Amino acid sequence: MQHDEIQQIFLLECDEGLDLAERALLACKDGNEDAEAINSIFRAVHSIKGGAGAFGFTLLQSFTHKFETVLQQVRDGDKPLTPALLATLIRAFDVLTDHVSAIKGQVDAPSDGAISTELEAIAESDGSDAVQAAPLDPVTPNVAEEATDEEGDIDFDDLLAGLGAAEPVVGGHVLHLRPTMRALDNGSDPLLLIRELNSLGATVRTVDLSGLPDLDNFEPEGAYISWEIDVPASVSRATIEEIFDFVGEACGISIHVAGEEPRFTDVPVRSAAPTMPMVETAAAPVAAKAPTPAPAPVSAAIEAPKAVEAISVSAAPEAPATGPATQSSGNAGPVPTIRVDLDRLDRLVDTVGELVITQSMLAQRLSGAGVAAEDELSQLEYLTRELQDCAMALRAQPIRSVFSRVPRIVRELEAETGKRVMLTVEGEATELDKTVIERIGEPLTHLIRNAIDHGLERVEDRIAAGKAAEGSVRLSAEQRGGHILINVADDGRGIDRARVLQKAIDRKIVTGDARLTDEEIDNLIFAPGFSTAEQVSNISGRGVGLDVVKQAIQGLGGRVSISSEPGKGTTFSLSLPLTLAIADGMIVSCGGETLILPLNNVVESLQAKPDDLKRLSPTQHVINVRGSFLPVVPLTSSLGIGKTGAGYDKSVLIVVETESFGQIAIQVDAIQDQRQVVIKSLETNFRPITGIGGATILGDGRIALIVDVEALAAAAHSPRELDLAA
Amino acid sequence: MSIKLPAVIDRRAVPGLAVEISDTLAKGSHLQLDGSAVRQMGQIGLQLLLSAFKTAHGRDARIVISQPSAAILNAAKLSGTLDLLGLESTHAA
Repeated sequence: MQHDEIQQIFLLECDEGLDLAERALLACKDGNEDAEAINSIFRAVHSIKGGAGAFGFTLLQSFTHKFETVLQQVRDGDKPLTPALLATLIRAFDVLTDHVSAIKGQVDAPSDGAISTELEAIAESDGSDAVQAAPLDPVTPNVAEEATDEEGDIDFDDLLAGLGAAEPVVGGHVLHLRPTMRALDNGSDPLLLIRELNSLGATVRTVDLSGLPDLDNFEPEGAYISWEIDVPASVSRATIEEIFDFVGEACGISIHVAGEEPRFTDVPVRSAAPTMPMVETAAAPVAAKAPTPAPAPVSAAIEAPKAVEAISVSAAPEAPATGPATQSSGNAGPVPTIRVDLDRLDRLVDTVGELVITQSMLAQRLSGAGVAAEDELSQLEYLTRELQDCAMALRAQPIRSVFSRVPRIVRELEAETGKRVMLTVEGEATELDKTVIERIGEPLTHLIRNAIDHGLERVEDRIAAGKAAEGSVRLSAEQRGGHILINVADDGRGIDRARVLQKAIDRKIVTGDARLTDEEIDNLIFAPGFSTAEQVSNISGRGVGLDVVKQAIQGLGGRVSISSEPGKGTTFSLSLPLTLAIADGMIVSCGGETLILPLNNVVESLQAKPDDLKRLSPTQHVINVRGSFLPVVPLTSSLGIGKTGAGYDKSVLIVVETESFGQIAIQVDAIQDQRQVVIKSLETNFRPITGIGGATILGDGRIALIVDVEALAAAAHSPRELDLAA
Repeated sequence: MSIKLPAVIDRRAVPGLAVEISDTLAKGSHLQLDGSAVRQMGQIGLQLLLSAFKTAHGRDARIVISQPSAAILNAAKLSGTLDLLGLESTHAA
């Protein structure tokens, strides 16, 4: 594997680690802190630090080192997790997230001076200052660490009971860990790796001090200790290797099954104790194991010389830690996953799309030839659809990756606005196409900002209105049929429709005598340039945003709608397609061509009566549909694909809903069919054409263009020709 | 003779500490390292203490760590060096 590929894996694991850490931090904030939550944060930060060191991201490594130090103290019980300390950890997490974004090249490296200083001060404090005061709840220390306290009141019963019992764990692994002279660079510490192993129930079996110099030759940068560590059978080899994923060449390791010879010896493995190198000494006899001295008060001024010359030491086995050890056991582990290059995945999806088309063509050809193969064709169609669903599912990702950004946005907005927000997130596991996931972040961010900045009242106003001081913002996602519904709801003041309407009139978005429904007034906030913010702020109110949100959602084939109740709040609802590769389409014929209308735009189809049509100009007509006059758009002339073969009275009018221009009636010659179509991009395969959203291949092998209904409506409202007509 | 170990035994603290311990050992055969204030110690600090014990042994001197803090005990316990540092007897005390 190439360096870049490994680095890419590291970056992905950074994201995963940050996700886990944030969830654990938020759990702590919600009062659900426990040892595992703290361990989760620590492990994530530790892993990122390790990888940062391996890949030379020194700024990231330096920061994570400071962050990790404080986390370690919390984990060890040296620092109580007070609300103030938790707030600091959350801020440090945000900066860490920025650091990770910086190494991805997405942003500049953050300025971390202030938070670094804060972390260092906390690390060096004795735990008695204000930040440390008033712990939330005692954090249960890890079993491996809970044996000690400041007064030296140590519970070593289990430790002493295990002395001398250094036989390899039956069926377990033996890990040889030999840090190189670079192992302590940039704040790295192999002891943290051992701690990680220890949390899985591993115990040090022997210690190799052969390279340890005396003080006169001691270099602080040097790593002089190696270990032989017994790892329980419940821990998989993959789990062990994962711990060392990003250590790089800083530590040589080899792993073999206890009782067997090492399978690989990329690192020289020191064998049994008698051949172990010894600390140099001319006076003391070599001992295979340090003798245990008679108990003596440690406060005694002088003790007998210790048998430091013995470098093969039986370490005291400890009780395996709960939680992580059981989680890492083979059968109870996470579902195995494999990372696949996205290009390969897209090629698979594309090929499956071709298969669907070919299957459809085959069915049509056989049917035309009178071949009776209904069972086989039915089975082939079923299997093809199954394969297609499976292929599309490969591109699906949980929306969690987008939702996970929201808590930070809320925290920042709380700080900027002084408002208090209770964020509720639901449906994080809901899956969407990867492309939709990638493009939904910005619009969603804006809606959250809008909800807090415009939707929620200030604390004093909420209290005056008899509401809780803390405003509520609820973010949810759920699948509804072939769409995903995302709601951003607040319990704020609701849309001030009188103010919105007046602003729209002032900006000449609507005329002064316009009579609009509540829904239409609400939708004015999506008009380009509309803003009701009294002051321009960093958050919103620059007159850009919600119109961009609408465009972005439409660009994804989705819709956005609003419901609002004065004094009770506003809900923005985003309806998004599950995938961008397949759509339900209405197949129509027009001027000798076959075209596709996206079914999610279609409202109804009509056979127009002459009395229903009104002529506005030689080329413009409207139709009266139950009292509403809709512009009639002949598809032939709009797209320049020839003349329609029928008059209005003989053609079919298809009423479609558009986001920007409401409903229009598209005139076609006839409706042929309704079916799922595989969308082929014109941008990728040809060039973008206004009025055409893509193309598909029909069952008979012909190509059919997919109409871009929004562009068609826009053209109907402005006297210009579409590209295709040119 | 006694040396009070600092709160943080890291790369910055170790060079001075190594010299101080070495010099103190040169002046006498008994040295007590007061570990009560140590709150942060990783492999660097651990190595320093082990090297100090080795140096003392080579000079026929003795070192004892008194009042070892949780940080010291944790590091020694994790690394399997409790008895090398004379800390296993802490429990007995």
